[in-house]
Amino acid sequence: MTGGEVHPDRLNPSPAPGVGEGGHPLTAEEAFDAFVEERYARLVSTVRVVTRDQGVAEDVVQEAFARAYVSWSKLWPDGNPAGWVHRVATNLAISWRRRATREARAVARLGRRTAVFEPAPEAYPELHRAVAELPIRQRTAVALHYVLGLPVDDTAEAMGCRPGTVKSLLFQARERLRRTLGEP
Amino acid sequence: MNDPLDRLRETPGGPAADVTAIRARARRIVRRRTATLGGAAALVLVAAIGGSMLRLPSDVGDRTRLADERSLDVGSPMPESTKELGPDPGVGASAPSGTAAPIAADGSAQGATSGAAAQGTGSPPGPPLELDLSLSRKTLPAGEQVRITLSVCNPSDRPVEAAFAHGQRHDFEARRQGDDRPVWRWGAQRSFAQAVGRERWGPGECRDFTGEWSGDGDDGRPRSGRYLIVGVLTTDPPLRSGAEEVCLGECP
Repeated sequence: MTGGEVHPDRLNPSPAPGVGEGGHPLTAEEAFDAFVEERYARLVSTVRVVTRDQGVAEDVVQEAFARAYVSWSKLWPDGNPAGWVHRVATNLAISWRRRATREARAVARLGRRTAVFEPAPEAYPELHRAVAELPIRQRTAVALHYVLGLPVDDTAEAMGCRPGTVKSLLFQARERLRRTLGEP
Repeated sequence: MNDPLDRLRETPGGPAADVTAIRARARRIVRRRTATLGGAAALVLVAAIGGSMLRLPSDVGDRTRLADERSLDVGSPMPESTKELGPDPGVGASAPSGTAAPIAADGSAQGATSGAAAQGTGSPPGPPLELDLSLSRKTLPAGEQVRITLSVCNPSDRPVEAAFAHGQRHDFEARRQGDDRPVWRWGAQRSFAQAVGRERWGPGECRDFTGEWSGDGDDGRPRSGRYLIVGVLTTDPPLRSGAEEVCLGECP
């Protein structure tokens, strides 16, 4: 699977987890490799929306997968490794973003210039710039739901909140973006 | 009505994964944990020797005993209430009352909230929860308020539980530089439920606790000069943040 594809059900993509293409059971190492290959690229894109920094996004996602590897015997084959990694990556990204915001404020107080978010050269740069200006929780909900393609319930699980909260965050984000982008 | 965000579904994926780098990083995580556990074991040994040589205050002795008893439970199943909350489907032991301890992947409760707490309870040293205090302003003219934010983060990859003896979760204190007695406490004018409770931080999760100070002391008198503000997570023993300075009125 390439990084650009959106899987219809990212939490339980395989009807028979632990079984390889040829029908032979996967070893734990093979299963981890397949898990990373399938999810890494899309999760980096998602986390990038939260952190607004490509390098940090890659670092955060790599850390989340490394932690999953350490706990792999608990996560596979009976656990929910995707949900686990989504939650760890989300929490790491939000923590990093909050720290970066505090540091940026401190730098601004010293009168130095702070970095300005520039979206990567991709489609809809105005939309990405507007999303980057959303409050962190709205942005996280948008990233998980729209970029990663998680259903509302799984987005709520990754963010550690209720599905109703996610719906509310997504509604607020949509309303704000409509105003920002001048769309009906 | 169009959903402006639908176009985000076309966002291309990021770079391909480097599984070798991820495994190498995982090995570093394991090495760090092993080193931490080794150091913790040494600390527990020192604490045990020290405890047998010194007459400890009764409450510290009780805590040490409780910690020793708890150590027999390493690997016991995680309480149902904990299982439901955490992303880690593994097992773990609940944290002792008054401390915040991560639930390890191998099922043992690890860490404590401060070095003192770690030695007092016999738990490995932490701190699993990081406290960071920030102020909305550094100077406070009369009649205005400073907004205080205490960010409490769990930097580990395991859930952390903190136990509270009452409904209050946080506090802020202000004291004049060089004086140990606080002139103001955020919680002093508030009432809280007298019920024990627990809070859980997921891996990497941060929570913000906020409050405002107008510069008046608990006695209602306005203050002036340089003051230090500290954030407190009101566990037992409490966890304290570093101090941030604020200037009330005129400061030299």
